Amino acid sequence: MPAMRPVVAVPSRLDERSFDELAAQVAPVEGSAVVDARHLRWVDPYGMLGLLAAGAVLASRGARPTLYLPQAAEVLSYLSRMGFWAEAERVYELSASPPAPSAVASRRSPVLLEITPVRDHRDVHRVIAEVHERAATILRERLHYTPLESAGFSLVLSEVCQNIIEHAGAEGWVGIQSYRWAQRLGRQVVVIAVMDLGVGFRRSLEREHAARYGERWSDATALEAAFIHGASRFRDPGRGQGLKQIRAQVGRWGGKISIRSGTARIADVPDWDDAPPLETNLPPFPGAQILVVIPEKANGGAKSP
Amino acid sequence: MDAPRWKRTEVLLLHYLVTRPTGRGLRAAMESTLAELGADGVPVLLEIDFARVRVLDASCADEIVGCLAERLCGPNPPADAYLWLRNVDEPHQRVLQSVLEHRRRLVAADGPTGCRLLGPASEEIRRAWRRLLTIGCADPSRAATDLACEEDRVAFLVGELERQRLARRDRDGRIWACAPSVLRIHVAA
Repeated sequence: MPAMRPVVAVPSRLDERSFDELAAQVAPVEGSAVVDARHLRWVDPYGMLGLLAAGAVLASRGARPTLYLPQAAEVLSYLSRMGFWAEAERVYELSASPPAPSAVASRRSPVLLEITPVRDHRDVHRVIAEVHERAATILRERLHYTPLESAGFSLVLSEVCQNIIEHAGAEGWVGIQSYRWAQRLGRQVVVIAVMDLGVGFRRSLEREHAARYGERWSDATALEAAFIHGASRFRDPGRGQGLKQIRAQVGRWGGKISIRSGTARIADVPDWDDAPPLETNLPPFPGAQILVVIPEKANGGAKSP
Repeated sequence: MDAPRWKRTEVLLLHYLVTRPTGRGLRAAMESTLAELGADGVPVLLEIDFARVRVLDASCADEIVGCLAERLCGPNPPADAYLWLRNVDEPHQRVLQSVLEHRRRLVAADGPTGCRLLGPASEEIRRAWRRLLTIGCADPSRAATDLACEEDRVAFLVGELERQRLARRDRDGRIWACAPSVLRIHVAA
């Protein structure tokens, strides 16, 4: 009788918050596994990349995991529109054939950037060239920012993608979507998710910064060093400005940025969110997972009576 | 007044200036041009035009402007060269200001809101630089009047402007603003 393969049950709603549930199930698995997404009902770009990252982690420990596809037709269709399956097929054995993506995304499509692998700097250029004009239109028309206010979008996108190349030492993915975040915010948002399976912040910064922290050196202190103090793994004083620029721009939008790495997560939390600014003792997960949420400008869409 | 001999070169940057390797490549090309132009020891003014730059990220800006400014002020510069940034708009300025603060360098720029200094300059330095830019050249014998500062601050202010390569003395000790407008007027005269 063949041995039972461990099953990782994907939460029905997969986003930044529930990703930790997924990570907790992935952490103890050794060897071949099944990832069961049949009950998935809602997923955002962070959740999608999390699902890919979980598959890649499991694959690195043994055979490629099997992914049971979601049963909900709208979830399958949305994953197709986001280009999820092309990447999923590299990571998973799929339990069935996924639906083909629709021919052309409409102008009103919430997909701003399909899930895109980032391997080197040329990929960053391709992403920026593809997204810049469309993002400017969405930030103007749906989020009601002026051209000046939306000008920093590509800067943020470029810097978060470069984080993969500069610090991860491994490839990663980026995905962007715009949708109405009714549950938490009641406003339109643009969500950028970036993930990699590299060495993570603690190991990336270890050589230059760990000695100063002594026994306190950890995933959390490494994130604090990079996020708050602009620490970089390079000695050049000009380095480490990317995160500073991202935080400043996201702050101007009243948005949220969070970075999870290893067992910790750090965030700039706006008043519309109730996440803690620093979380520790999370289930371990390799690499780094970055979320940027840009909310619709407050009162920006209000019409005069 | 005799004009100091200057050379001038211009770089028009295009569209999406993102990633550090892109910036590094552009900087290497600019340094190479400066080394060639300045091989005879004549000072060179390099104008970098941002008019067509749609996206400028911090990594690329740090290489193109931050590292280049540091190289020009450092011990082994590619040439006796000076920087001027053209058509710098507000999004460019935010990024450039940040990278120059990190490197503690000052660079002069123009744009929709006029000429300004980017980087961590005190109000005293900014005032002296604006004054020098207006008059073009300050006479050492009346530099305090020309720069509208106290006598005991002249040496420091001029030294700082020279150190940041915003001003240059000619053979007669006169202090020149390293700006395209000043040089053009001068050459035309």
